[in-house]
Formats: sequence, structure tokens, C-alpha cells
Amino acid sequence: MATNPKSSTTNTGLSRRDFLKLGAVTVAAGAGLTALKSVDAPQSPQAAAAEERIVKTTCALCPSGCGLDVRVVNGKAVKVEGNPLHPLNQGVCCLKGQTALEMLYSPERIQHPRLQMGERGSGDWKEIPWDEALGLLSDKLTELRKAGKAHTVALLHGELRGQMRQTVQRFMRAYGSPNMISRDSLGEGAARMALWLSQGINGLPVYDINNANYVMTFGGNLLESSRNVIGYLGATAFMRRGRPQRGKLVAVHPRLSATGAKADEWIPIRPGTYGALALGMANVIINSGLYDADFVRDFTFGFDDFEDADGNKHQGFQSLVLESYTLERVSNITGIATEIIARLAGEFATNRPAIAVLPTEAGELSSGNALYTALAIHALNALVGSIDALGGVIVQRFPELKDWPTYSLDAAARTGESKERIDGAGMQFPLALSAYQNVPERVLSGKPYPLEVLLLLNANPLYDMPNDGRTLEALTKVPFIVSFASTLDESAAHADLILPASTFLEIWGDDYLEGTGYAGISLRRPVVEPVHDTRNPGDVLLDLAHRVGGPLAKALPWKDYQELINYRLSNFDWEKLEANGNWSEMIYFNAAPGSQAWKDVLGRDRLNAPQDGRFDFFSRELFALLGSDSDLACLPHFEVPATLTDSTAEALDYPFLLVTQPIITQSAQWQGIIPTLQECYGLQGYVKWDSWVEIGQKAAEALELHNGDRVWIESKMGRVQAAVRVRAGMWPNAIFLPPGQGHHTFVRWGRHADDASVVGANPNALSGFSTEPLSGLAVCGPTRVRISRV
Amino acid sequence: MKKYLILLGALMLCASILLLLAMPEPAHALPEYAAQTGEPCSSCHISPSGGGPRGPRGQAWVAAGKPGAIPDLTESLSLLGVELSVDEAYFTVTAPEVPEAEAPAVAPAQSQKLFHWLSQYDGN
Repeated sequence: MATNPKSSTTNTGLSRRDFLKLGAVTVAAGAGLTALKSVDAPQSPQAAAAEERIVKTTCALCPSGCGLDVRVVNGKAVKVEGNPLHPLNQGVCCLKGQTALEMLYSPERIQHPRLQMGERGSGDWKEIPWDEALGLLSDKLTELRKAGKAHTVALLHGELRGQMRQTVQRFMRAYGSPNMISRDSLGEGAARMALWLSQGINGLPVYDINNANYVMTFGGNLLESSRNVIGYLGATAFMRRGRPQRGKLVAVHPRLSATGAKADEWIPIRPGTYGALALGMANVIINSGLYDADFVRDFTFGFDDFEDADGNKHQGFQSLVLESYTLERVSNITGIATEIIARLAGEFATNRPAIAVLPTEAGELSSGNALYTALAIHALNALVGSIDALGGVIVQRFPELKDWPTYSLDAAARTGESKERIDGAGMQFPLALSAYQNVPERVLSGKPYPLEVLLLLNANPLYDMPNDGRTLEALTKVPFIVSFASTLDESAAHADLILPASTFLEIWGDDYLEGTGYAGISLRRPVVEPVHDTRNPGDVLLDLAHRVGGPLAKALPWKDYQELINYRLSNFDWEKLEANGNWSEMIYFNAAPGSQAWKDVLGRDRLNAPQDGRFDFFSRELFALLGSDSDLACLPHFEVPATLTDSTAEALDYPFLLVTQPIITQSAQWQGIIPTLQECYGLQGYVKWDSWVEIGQKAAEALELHNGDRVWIESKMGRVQAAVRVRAGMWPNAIFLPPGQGHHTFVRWGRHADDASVVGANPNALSGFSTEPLSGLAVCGPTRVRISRV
Repeated sequence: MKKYLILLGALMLCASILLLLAMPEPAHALPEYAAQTGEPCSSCHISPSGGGPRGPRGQAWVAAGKPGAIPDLTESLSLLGVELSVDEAYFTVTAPEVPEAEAPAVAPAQSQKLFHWLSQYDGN
């Protein structure tokens, strides 16, 4: 037999018999290994009894609403991971999500309904059964309704997710109160209002960063605290590294945040002047003819000067911008060199698709010019034709759910609905959807009527806007305050009754899949049985509705919130919904300008302005509401914040400007009680269980301050203490205090026994809160402060 | 000597096989697929760098037997049995029409309040 001389078999002289022996050994070894693999490891009695499962649910620790896989062993949640089948986070889980179990099992949670027995804030609580607590509140609500005072009940709320927004709305409307007041006026209200006034869409903008070539953020912290932070992190990574053409990210902010550090370019800017920069860029883009002339001509309104229906002449965006926002003027306002502004404008206009990103975080635009700043930033998107374009600003779509049942208002509800709002929305502030920060002042004035009951749902006004004790003073004037807090936050401590909310890991609910653009829904369901005697606020509202009866019971006929979710989501294939934890269309079709779908992305929700498929540089909605007196009031423009025009004496007394910028370790939901998040609160500066103040290098040198020095940060409203962190990435006279700290906590993990119960400092305590006259949006900065060594 | 060699060979072979079997599952995201299809890894995989779970286009491509080109997203969803509630034609323009601009006008005073008008907001 011919043999291959290079064959190892031949070289070793392996015989057929030897080969078979070797084969037998190999097979035996393989079989042994397979057997080893197939047989479970020896189990301890505990392990044998373990019942383990993965439950899919939806996070609620930030507005993103990522899908989670929670590992549950013997009824205890033991680990949280990202759901790989969820389109937003695609398996990723941020550090907040990872620590959700510390919130679930926190010893600081309120474990039963509580009734305040002593003076408010005294801490003299009595735990009472749910039936008694709900009876107490429903009796109060019924009594007020019968007395024609339903409107004297107000509900302040923070984040409401999925069906909860409409549930609360139906509750308040059918009860007869117009006072459902959102915390949006502190933050995302500006972006939402700008989108509606210019584009005619009642919603928040979504950015197709995956397909963009140039992304420019004006304020905010896109990669740490935006509304779709995990989605935008992935999209930004893809834009810059995952595709052949690398896009550019530019972050504009007085402070170098993680977004600024990860961006291709950080542009430091004088606090409160984003609007001027946007208009200066518009000036360059228009002047140099780099705008999308076809889109502007065919699908926008008010770019050129025009005549109205009565033949009156009006100024357009182009002439306003060219006359008033020259490079030199904008440079003087913003502190950014003219050549940089010109370069940014050129890059933005010539690297399409380009996006100008509006911040939605609290305090980011609250310099007294939030509305027009947001309009100016969004106008850049229209100038380069990025409206519903691939890689541009897209419009969030929502799935079709089963219709809410109809109900009719009775006389009490109709009367209540017609009353003036307690926050001044619609009257004092004609454009406002809410003016949360104005409630304390109106309560103190007793106008338009005294408030009898205040409900706090995901809202903590004493923390959000202490206003030098004015908010506390206002709360003392309200006879009955009810909080749905999970932990004893500042406002809950001053409530009369606490109806403790379960955490998101214990309840039924849902989130719309915001941030992808396409329609979708994400299911929230109990991962474990409630750890304590707490309830889903949705269940509480349904229970109250049945107790109060009348139109309320008809508006909310379900026995519990799970039934409501089942009803609203009954169009879905629940088997798939439960298996994946979500449902989505997975595809976003951009509406071509002029297509049938165009009306759904441009003009859909307009009230008085024409639905003619044109983006308003000159807001016809504002014109319709305000009259024809002032063209400027209908155009994006810049108003210099009051703190930047203060007298010299003021500037000498308080030389620094306090800026805020939310960070990834912050969340309104956890109120400072999660040890792991406290351990990494100052992630980049190694600050734990404390606040820090970031100060520029030159300012630190002038004040002879070094890292770690304790200082007072003082404004006219008050003072707080923090440790210094000297940073090169800071506008020269700006300082930064991280938001989210300054809560009471009694958690001792990682702390010394004698540490104070308040962790860090609440920067809100330094700012005075007032309201923009037209929009009802909050004005709270940049606050003037000074620094002195402790 | 021959016996030792056989034994040594057998042991080495066993060790190699054991090592191979004990190794983690090999990654299936292969750069040659990107070369074959002319698209980046992220066209099929959720992770932009490739590997791990596949997105709808990746799932459809594998289900179709890894042809030369990856089906586009609409086709992929159709192959995967996902029923879209939207019609692609609704979003496209066949005969472009420029909308006529309408001049602004002051609204009558009885116009409803904005917070009522915009209360049907569906966002989270």
C-alpha cells in the first residue's frame, strides 16, 4: 500500500491496531467529558430547593425605561441585568439599574401607611392600615367634592410613565380639579414647548444619532442624564466608531462633563447663553448661504419677512438673525471666539445630517430665556433640513392601544374643571402647561383660592425649590398633605398622611418606548411580592376612585392597576410581550417632506396655527395667542439672563455663577439612600457620600484653594458646604455643585456612625425660583454665589 | 518506545480535545461575513463591534442561509413574521407637492387653554 511519507501515522509507525486503540481512548475521553457536562454538579440541600427564574421588567430609575432581566431565587430578587431583547438598552444595564435591589430592600423604605400625629415634621408617626388611610383620604375628597370645592385639591407630580399619566389625568378630571401640576416646568417643559410652537408636535424630540454626521449638544449631559441615555450612548459610539464615516460630537456647556470629555470637542460657554450661540450660528449659516434652501423655501414659514392676512408687514427669522446676532455680538455674549462660532456653524451646515440637541434636564435652560433659547436651538435643525430626516430630529410614535372607556363629567367635575389653575397655568402664564415652581407663592397668597388638599406623587417640592423656606411656609398653609413617597423625603416628612409607594420592582405598569422614534411598549411587572405593606400608586388611585364614586368610578372602572394594564394592552400578543418584556415595531420610517406622513411630524398638534406642513421659524401659534403687537415675541431670540446684567456691586459680592448639570449617579427616584451609588457619586473625582464644588484653576489659585478644602458656597438664599475640586474644565467664573445630594439618610453602610444624617448639599437651596411670564417655565439660574473657606 | 509514543500521542490528543471541548463557545461574528456582505458587523449584531445577540437583520440573514446580501430591515421584519402597523408608502412621496403657506391670524378669545389642548400627551 502506498503511503504518504509526510503522514504522522507513517512517521510514528502507528499501526492500524494502535490507531483503533487511540480512537477508543479518545472516544472514551470525549464520552466521559460529555457525561461530566451533562450531569449537574452535586447539589447542596439548599441549592436543590432553590427556585430560580428570570423576570423581565422595565426600569424606572431614570426616564429612559430600559428593559431589565431580574434574577429571582426563592422569591428574592438577587441580581439585575439588562434585557438583551430590549431595543433601548440591548442588554446594557447602567450602574443605577444594577443597584435597584438596594432600593428594593432598603431599610429606609416606609413600610406601612403613616399618619402624622404630632406637628408636621415632628416625626411623630403612627402606622395605620391601608383601609383606614384610604378611608381618611376618600372621606376628605368626597366632603370637598360635595361642598363644591373639588378644585381646591391639587396633585403635584414628577415622572409618570406609560398609562399612569392618563390614569392620573382621568382621576383629577373626573374628580373635578384642574390642578394636575407637572414638575416638567423645571426641565423638559422647554424642549416640549419649543417642539410644539415650531413644529406643531406635542412631544419631546428624539434624535437619530446613529445616522447623524454632526451632533451638537446645547447644555444638558447627553451621555449621562438625557432621557434616553443608554440608547444615546450606544448610538454615539456607533456614530463615531461603528460605521465607515465617523460622525462628530460637540458638547457646549460651561463645564466639562463626561459628555464633554467623550465628545470630539467641548466648547465652554458663558452660563445661560446657549440661545445666543444658536442664533449666532444661524447668522453664519444664513449669511454664507449654507442652509437647506429648498427645505426652507418649501417647508418652513417665517424665514423671510412677510405680510399677514390683513396686509401688515412682519419681520422674519432671516432678517432678525442677520441684524441682531452678528458674530461679534454673539461672541461678546457667549464668550466664545468669533472664529470658533463661525467654524462650528460651517461644520454643522456642511456635515449633514446634523442635529442640534435640546437639553431636557432640570435647570439646564432655566436662565429666564428657556422658551426662546429652545426655539433658537431647534431652529438650527430646520435650517439644515434635519426635520424627520434620516440622522435628524425624529418624532416619537406610539402604539395603538385599546381606547380608554368614555365617561361624562357631572356638575361638580365641570365646575371644578372651569376653575383657574392654582399654579397660574393658562391665566398668569398663558402658554404654560404647568408652573410647578409657582405653586408655593400662589398658596401663600391664597389666590385664586386656598388649597385644601395637596397630593404629592413623585414630587418633592421642599427639595426641588426650598426658596429660603417659602415652600415650607406654603406647605404649612395647606390643611391636608398626602405623599406617595417610598422613603421619607423632605416633603413627605411634612405630610399628614403617607401612602407608601411600592418600588418599580413590585408593581404592574408600562413604559412607552421613548427614544427610538418607533412605536413600542415595555412591560413592567412585579419581580417579587411587595417587600413591605406598600402599594402601587396606580392601585391607590383606582381604590380611591371607587370609594369616591360618581364619574370617578366610571372613568377608572378597573379593580386594580394590573387589570388596567391588561385592558389597555389587550391588543398585544401577551405571550410575546411577556417573553420579550416589550413589543416594538423596530423600524422608523422617516416621513418624506410632502408625504402623507409629513402631517404627523409637522403640524399635527397645532391648536390655532395652520396645519400646512411648514416648520415655523415665526411661530404662528404664538402669533395666534398673543396678537400682532410684537414680532419678536413670535421669533426665536435671546434675552440676557438677569444675573449676567447685575450691578457691579452684586458681581463683586457674589463673583461666581452656579451651574448645574445632572450626572449619571443621580436620580430623583432614589433620594440618596442607595449605598453603592453614594460610594461612586463623584465617579470622576473620587468623592463619596458627599457633595463637591468644582472650581476653575485660576479662581482656585486666586482664593488659594486646593482639592479637598472645605468651603462654604453662599448665595443670597442660603449657604451650603462642600469639598473643593479644582478643574481645568470649567468656565472661568462658573462653579458646579452636583445635583441630587442633600437628602437625609440613615443608611450606615460605608459610613462612620457619627456621620451627619444629611449627605452632601442640595444646590437648589442656593437658588431663588421664579417663573417666565409667558411660558410658566422655571427661572432659577445661573445663581450668583461666593466661596469662602470653612 | 513505540508504546510510549502511542501513549504520549493519545494523551496529547485527549488533552487537545478536552481543551477544545472545555473552551467557551466560539464567537460566530466573523469579519469575513462583513467582507462578504459589505456591511459593518452592527448591521447584524446588536453590539457595534459584532458578536453576541443579533438584531432583526442578522436574524433574518441567518434564517435565509447567509446569502450574499443582508435583507433590508423591512424585508427582514417580514421574513421574521413581524407585522408592521405602518405602510411604507405612507411615508414616501410619489408626486411632490409644496404645501401652500398660510398666513398667521390671531385666534378668537374663546380658544381653549393650552394645558387642556395638550393634555393628551402620551410620553412617559
